[in-house]
Amino acid sequence: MNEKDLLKKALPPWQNTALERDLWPGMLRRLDQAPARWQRFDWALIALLFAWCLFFPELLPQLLYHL
Amino acid sequence: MDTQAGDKPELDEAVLGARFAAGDLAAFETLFRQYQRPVYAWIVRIVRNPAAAEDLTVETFWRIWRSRRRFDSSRPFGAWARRVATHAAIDHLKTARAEVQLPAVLPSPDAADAAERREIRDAVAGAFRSLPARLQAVATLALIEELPYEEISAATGHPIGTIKTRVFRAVRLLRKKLSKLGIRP
Repeated sequence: MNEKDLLKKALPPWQNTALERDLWPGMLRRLDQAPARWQRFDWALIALLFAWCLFFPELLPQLLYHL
Repeated sequence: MDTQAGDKPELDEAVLGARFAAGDLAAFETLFRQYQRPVYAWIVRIVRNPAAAEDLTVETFWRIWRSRRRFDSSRPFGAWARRVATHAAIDHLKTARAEVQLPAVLPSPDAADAAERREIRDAVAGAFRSLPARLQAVATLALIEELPYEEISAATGHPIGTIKTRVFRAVRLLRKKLSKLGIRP
């Protein structure tokens, strides 16, 4: 008996490959959890930082010092 | 990949694929309903756990939805879905592998009674599940499910030579682990 035979005795081929239920409701829940709003929020933060640097350039060294 | 409603014309799927790639959720739902069963059937053969396979089917379609812009609608959706599913299953095996614990040395199979034979089978299964995920997935498909190398190659995106090497390495590693447990095939 070789490794393959031993393996097939321990782990026979999987017989029941039929899906018992529709997974679309679970998929919809997963899609709802998607962090879609984060990206917009990130862009808003970057724009805010950019505007701040544009209007108050003298504060930039201070900001860099504290980082 | 066979589908539940596999009698749809090819053109329909290309149009559907193009709509899906453009972000049409209704097209995605149609593709999901068409392919959830073959994707599940593929995953459950690799991970051998129906509950995990259901979760991984959703994970596969989540990955598919996220990368929809990269989908080439002139190519078959089923083949792409199977490839994504294979990678999702391998990622699952990587985490599941950490939970596998090998037993101590076992008695010789020559003198084994029914209980000992069961222990040996469990030990072989444990040793196999402790293999690296990539080797385990390929070896499951090639040695247990006895799928052709071409099919495994298409599903993983690796050349046939790589698949053969991985199967060879899996067998060698399994032999080593079994020998440490006192099991000689």
